[in-house]
Amino acid sequence: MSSARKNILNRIESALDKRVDIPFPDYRQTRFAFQNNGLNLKAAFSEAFTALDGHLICCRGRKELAENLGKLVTAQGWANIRCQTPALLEDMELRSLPYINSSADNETEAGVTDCECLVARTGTIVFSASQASGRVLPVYSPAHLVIASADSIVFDIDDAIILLERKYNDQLPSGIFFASGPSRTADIEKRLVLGVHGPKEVYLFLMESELK
Amino acid sequence: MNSKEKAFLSQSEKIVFDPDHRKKMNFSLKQADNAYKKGRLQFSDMETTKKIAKNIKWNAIEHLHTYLEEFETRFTRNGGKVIWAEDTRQALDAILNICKRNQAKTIIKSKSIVTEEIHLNSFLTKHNIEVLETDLGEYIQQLDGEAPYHIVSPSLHKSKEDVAKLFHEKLQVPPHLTPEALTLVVRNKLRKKYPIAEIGITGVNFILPDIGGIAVTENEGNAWLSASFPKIHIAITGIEKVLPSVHDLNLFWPLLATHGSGQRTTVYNSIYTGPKNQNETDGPEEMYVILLDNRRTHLLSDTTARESLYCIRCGACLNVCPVYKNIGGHAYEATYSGPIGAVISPYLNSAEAYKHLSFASSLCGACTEVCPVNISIHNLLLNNRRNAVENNFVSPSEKIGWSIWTKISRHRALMNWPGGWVKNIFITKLFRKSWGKRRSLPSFARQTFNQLRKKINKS
Repeated sequence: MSSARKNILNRIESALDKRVDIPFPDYRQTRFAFQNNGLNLKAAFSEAFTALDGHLICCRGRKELAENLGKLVTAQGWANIRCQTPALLEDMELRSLPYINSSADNETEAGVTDCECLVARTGTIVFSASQASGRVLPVYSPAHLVIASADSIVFDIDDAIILLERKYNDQLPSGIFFASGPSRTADIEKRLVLGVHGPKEVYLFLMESELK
Repeated sequence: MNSKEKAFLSQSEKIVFDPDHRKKMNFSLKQADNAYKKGRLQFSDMETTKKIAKNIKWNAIEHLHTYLEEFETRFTRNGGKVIWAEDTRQALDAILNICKRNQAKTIIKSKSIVTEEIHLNSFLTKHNIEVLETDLGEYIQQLDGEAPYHIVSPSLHKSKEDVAKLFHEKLQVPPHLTPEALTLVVRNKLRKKYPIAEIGITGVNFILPDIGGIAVTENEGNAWLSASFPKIHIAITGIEKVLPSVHDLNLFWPLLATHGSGQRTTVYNSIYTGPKNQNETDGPEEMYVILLDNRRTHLLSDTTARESLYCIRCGACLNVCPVYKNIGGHAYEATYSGPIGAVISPYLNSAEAYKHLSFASSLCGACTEVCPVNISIHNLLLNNRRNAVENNFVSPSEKIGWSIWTKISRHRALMNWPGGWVKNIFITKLFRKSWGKRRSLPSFARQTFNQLRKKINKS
């Protein structure tokens, strides 16, 4: 196989003996390729996330979070919601809620996780494999509940990437996931259907003040 | 005329006059066009953005070996393994070896055109390994035993009734299910497969050398699942999919989403830098990235056609192409159909067998206009035509015809010498066949303009 490596690299190098000039020398990369609607981060996120069929629930403090969670769980008739994030179980006191990890059964109706950050322009929730929720839970849960701080909203995709690079000191998690709304398809006659393989519903509990 | 060209002509002839096909294609592509028009509003200046994007891909391709080596070094440091494959055979062998080492029986797979290029599914099936397409469109196509019709929307040509009928016949579900119900059938079937599959195979949208990672774009969640549940993740990619930096995703993810499906970003955009880290909860124990050449270096060595390697496989040029709209994706008999397929297929396969695709174009330029990385696709079609003529891949009668034409048009006396009827016989003999039976050849006037003018001036 190492000969394949050598052969391919040799072929590339000899092909590149003949150079092609830069197509548009006067055009420099810019970070301002996108329309800016002038909204603040929270309003911009809220608009984009809702447009993607995400459910946004704003909460002031833990009490309101528990109340809102309870309301949703009752309305949906859920009995077993999986959570494997210590920060949520302990600090946010989710462990005391009867429907959280109520059975060891893998068949849960929903999963609750935190996230790395939120992207305002695209209404995206960013997850990573370094979170206690791991790779599978955020995407395999039939419904996904996310608890995030309003302070974690950044403007664009690259702000989130920079944030992760700083946080993990350039030793990035093995997986980084940018999720924008519930799973969807338009593969049959271009018709929109929600919930193909990932969650059918995404609920974001946005904490007005810091999580901790 | 070679067999590929013959098949192309007879197939497209058949499909062009199929009103049912036309109806379905028009419907689906109209939806795609509406979505694209909405999606592009996120860009403040699309034309400038495309030029910047082209510059970025130019940088990636002009330094391809450096970036690939950088990717290999970092990805290996992250615990991943890079496999270089010169051709289909080497790529297939590498995948089979991994399967055998791990006694894999079930593979879950997300959408990857490169795996279509190397015919991975039939190869693995032959070796008694079950391969499950998990993308809904690909699942439909696999169930029907058909190749994808479009690089982004594999089952574009099927109506919801077609899919309902197919599911009823193959999966014994009730007839006439709605798209929602059909989707649920697939969801329930595949959710059982993710946890038991030994290997997950995904494609790659971008290779990211500066972090030693790859990026995968999707909407359904099947690629994320395929890269998370199984203990082995194999990602396969053409060597050209490089972006210089992870920071280029800020532009390229939205660019791909808008041109591929009319979205701001797709639902899921993931970056994978290697297998599960020690401190992580779950994820694959091994991750492989297969870097496939398969004659892409041949394309690279042609300085004119090189820019076709900038392609990000968004499928927008197919959606707007009047030829693709009318003949569909299968008539091309190539992994990559539509305008970009017509450009690259002669290089990736044989120039002689695929040159005719470049002639099947009105050169309207819609492909070039829509391309998110500003590839001048219609010029490259012309370039292919010139190469085909220079290499004598066109019919002798056409060649003789044009050489006589050139000689005569250079001499005024020769142009005026035969009468109109002589000229008409001449062009009918030489060009009747290539002109086709559905339009009449233009006919020459009795006298040339030059002769008439002389006459008037005299009188």
